Amino acid sequence: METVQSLVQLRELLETRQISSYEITSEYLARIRRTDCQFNSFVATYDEAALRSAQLADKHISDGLLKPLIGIPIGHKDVFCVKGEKTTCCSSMLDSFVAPYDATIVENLQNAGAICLGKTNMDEFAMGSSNETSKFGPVRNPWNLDRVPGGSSGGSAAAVAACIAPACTGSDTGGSIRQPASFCGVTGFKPTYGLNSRFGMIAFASSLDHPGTLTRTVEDARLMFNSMSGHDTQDSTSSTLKSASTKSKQKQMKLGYPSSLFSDLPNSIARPLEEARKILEEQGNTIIEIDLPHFNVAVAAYYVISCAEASANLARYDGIRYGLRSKQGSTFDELCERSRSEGFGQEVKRRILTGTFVLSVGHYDAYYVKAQKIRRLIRDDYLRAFESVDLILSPATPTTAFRLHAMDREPTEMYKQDQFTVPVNMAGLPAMSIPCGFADGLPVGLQIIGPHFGESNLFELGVDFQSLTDWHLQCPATLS
Amino acid sequence: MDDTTLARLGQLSRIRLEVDERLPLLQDLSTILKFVDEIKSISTDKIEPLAHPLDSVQALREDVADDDIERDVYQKFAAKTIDGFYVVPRVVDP
Repeated sequence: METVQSLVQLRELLETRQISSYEITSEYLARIRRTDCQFNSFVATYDEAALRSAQLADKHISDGLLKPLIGIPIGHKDVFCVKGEKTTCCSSMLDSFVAPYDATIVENLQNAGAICLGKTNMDEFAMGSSNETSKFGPVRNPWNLDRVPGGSSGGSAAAVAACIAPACTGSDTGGSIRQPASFCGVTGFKPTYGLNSRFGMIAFASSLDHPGTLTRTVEDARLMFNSMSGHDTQDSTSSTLKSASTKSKQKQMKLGYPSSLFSDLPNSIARPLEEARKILEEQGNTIIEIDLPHFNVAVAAYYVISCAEASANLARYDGIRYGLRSKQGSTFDELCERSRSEGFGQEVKRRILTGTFVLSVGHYDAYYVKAQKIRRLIRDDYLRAFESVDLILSPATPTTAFRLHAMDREPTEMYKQDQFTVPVNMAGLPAMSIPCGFADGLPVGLQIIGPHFGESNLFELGVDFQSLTDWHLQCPATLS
Repeated sequence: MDDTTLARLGQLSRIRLEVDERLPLLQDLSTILKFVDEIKSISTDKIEPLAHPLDSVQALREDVADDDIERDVYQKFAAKTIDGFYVVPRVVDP
């Protein structure tokens, strides 16, 4: 089997019986065993269950029972419940939590024939942009082991980049799929808010949380999205509308270009992005200058809203019903306080405390309501832009992957890492980061943003770009 | 942000703040609040708050009891239960 394999290629190999699911699954499990000590991208593998499922998939294939992802092994970010398996969100708080049910997207992918290889590493409760806050230790970037893979879906991005999983699920609250995808040189996609169910995904900030994927190609992202998405009565924010994700005929598109977003980038990053823009222009797409006037204040507003929602969502961890329970605490309140103090890491505590502050009496209007008003302004900027363009181009990140511990004492510098991705979550738009080159040996990602339910054009442009470039097929030297 | 406010936030969010983590937290929260204060520079007169990016109304299911709550399964991961009840330190004097 080739080192780099897309889901589409694997499916073809399986359907033409050139390889069995058992062989594919064994190979990826062997790669994890052999190389993941360098990256720390998986926190658990399900060897026996995966191989059992692979044997069953092989039987189904030989019986002609084909499904979109039959027999293909994937990894799940540890934010998603997998029934009967530990789901920890990489936090000490959920160290012993065994999921009693499958997340809807896990179930949907399983129904499409996918096999679960195991769980991937992440920032604790998905709060972070470097994958350094995990209780399992940091993930290292396969392109340079001294660098972070990005976060919070750092384990999923690193696993795909290192070719130890052909695809993984991820979650994106402010950029947690697209930023690590950019840092690791893979394709990171999140759909319109509500198209992928959040049921069984451990909540961080419910109005901003988007399940999505990290894959080698855009075609693979489309394949997974078609299997994952759909209305779910278990999620009260699940959309009843559908996305047009089938291949469309529209080939030449109008692409919005907010040039001010590109102007402050270091040259090494600006250059590949400029090359990518030219390639898209040469394909007959029209570049149209657009303005996003409230872009600069999005990160600040995002941190008010996301921390407020986090402080409410994480109130459920009281040490009583589930999660870590402190061995100390003679009163109910003391037990609860000690359990939360011992169970949560520093970044999670910072965000809960910040959220509590912005929701408290005397600050609620000045912070929380104000940030929600700014959210409307940001969303409306995009709606206005999409009146004249089909898609928007943007950088995915302001830098390439930074060194481990570079931002240990700089929480707000870390938050600014998500400046290009956060506004998209505030507006609930579909978006992806695709590899478009390298800067000083590290991958650079181009972000493409679509209008609500505009996944079809997003996939179409991404597939076109990847048919003309091979950045997405590059492999890190650490694999050799 | 000062010691008193931090202590109050710890109390409200039910997080015990150990002595050695108070100073760094105080510094970090001050930095974060200064950072988010940027939102005050934007005029939002006559703008309605936005809670859902698609302006959707939260869907509600029929108010009908279902029987798929398996108490035993969901209490398996509680630290302490007796006869289907969660056990906590005494909250009412005998």
